[in-house]
Amino acid sequence: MTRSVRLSRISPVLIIIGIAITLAIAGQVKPSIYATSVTIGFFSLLALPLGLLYGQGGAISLAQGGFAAVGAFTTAILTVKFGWSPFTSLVVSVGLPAILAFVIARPLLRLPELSLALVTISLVMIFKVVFERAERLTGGYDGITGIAPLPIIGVERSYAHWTIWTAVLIVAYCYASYVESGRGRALNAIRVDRLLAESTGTNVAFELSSLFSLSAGIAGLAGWFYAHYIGFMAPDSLDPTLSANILFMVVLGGRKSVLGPIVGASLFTLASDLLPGTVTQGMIFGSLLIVILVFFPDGIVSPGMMRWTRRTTTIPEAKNTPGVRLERA
Amino acid sequence: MAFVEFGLNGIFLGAVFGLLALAIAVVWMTTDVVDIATGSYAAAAGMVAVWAGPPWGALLGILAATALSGTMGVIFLIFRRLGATRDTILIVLCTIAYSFVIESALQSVFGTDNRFFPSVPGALDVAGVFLTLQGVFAVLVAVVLFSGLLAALRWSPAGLLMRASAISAKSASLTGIPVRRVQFVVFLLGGAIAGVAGVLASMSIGVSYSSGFALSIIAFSGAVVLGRVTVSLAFTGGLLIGLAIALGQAYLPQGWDAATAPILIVAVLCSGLVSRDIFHGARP
Repeated sequence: MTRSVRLSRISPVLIIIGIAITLAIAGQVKPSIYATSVTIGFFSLLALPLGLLYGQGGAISLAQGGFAAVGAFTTAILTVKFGWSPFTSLVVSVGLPAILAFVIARPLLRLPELSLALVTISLVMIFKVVFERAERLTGGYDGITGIAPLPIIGVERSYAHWTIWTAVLIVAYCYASYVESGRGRALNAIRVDRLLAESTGTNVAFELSSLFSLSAGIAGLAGWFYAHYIGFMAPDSLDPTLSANILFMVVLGGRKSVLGPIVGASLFTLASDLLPGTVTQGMIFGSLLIVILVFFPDGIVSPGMMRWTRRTTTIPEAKNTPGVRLERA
Repeated sequence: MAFVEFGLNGIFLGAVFGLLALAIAVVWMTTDVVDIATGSYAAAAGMVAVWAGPPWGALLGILAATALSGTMGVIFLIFRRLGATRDTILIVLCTIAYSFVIESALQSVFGTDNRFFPSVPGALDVAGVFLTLQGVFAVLVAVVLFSGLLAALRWSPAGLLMRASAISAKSASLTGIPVRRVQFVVFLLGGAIAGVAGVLASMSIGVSYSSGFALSIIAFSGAVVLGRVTVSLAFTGGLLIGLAIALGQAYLPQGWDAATAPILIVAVLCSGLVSRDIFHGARP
């Protein structure tokens, strides 16, 4: 393992630990910051796997919020209606979205990214209708109340802060390690040219399906945490807009780096907290997004910026190599 | 008899969705961009029309929708000028962000109520089937607009420029056609068509600040449901989606009809019926 590869794994981890410690210190001074920190951590947990899937693999998904809702409703139903312990329901909350995603992945992931985005957001809309109409299980529009807090963590916000950031840290480390591995390079090859990747022995369908499934499983984990942290789950709690917002976090922060989704999640949460007036927020935030998408299409933590610190995680694209064609005729 | 009435109501609703699908399709074919803000242009047109009231409200609404889509056209031109080969998905994301802006602006100005423009009063009784004049009016407007667009595309010089730019932007620009200007005009055209659809929607189902996204998803499903994206198929697809939603409202358990359009999108796109090429710039 070369020094630069070790560093590219460790530096995001160190930065995330730095963010978590800074937020914890700020939370000691002003306790409401813990709530903001948990929200950032929750969004980061949803955005990181999407960053891997979209930024590295080129497969766009607008279903992260939907899979989180599946995880959240699963634990809400199992713990409140069937009396399961939260840790037993965790297995189902993670497993169900992961299996569901793996099953539907094959026909989905062969679609070009534009149609994939629209199919995945349509899936989330279908999930929402199912949650609204399966009243006996989900409580319909009113949702499920009285979801017990997690053991040990309870309602203590600082414990919730450390729990969610530990999860973010683990996912970020796995992301960085995955990208450096042979499979990570195969994933980048898939993004640049699927046919070429297949011709070099990469099982494109399996690689993308398993990654899609993994993203859904992590979203389920985030949903599980959310349901026990908030104590309430309704179809509107994690609605289709969240799925779109998660994608915006990835694009805004920088889809090609490990830290990009976390930066996007942080900016998104802070913007929601700091911008005046909830009604006018959409105008300011939407305009800001348009400006960033038009003028900084690679996001804030872009490869250009990362090259400056020599910590880029995306394999350099072949267009810089003379004689290599990126697109098929 | 009830089935026929539900079917006709579906056609009336489908006329509105057909126009929306038409608006998405013309922009998509010419610029490669699926404008997700199309539903928001329609919502804005409807709300402005209700605010201004008859007789000029409808015209003002359509103008407002055209101005909004023109702004999106300008954003598109800036995006392309900064990088001609940039990933199209980014500009699609811009249209989603733009729909947030419009939604938020509509909520700030007009509030959260579902609003209605005065509809055409009266009804016809044709062999025991009850037809609202509003529905007949919507179908007439939609068919006239669709036929006019089809004729303009086929026979007018401007239509020829649009078709040339849609088939191959590069070849069209080599023959001296100002492709970017044509694309901007198509954004305006799409906004105007969506505006008419929005005013018609406000006369029947009503519009609110948050109608935009759902209308866009319905319009998109209408544009792709018949497997290829052309002006005629998009309009027909929109009509069929309206029919499916109306029959869903009548025969599915309450609330499940909201899943009709998303289920159609998933089923059609995952079945492989839609050519992959339409997402990579292949044109009719």
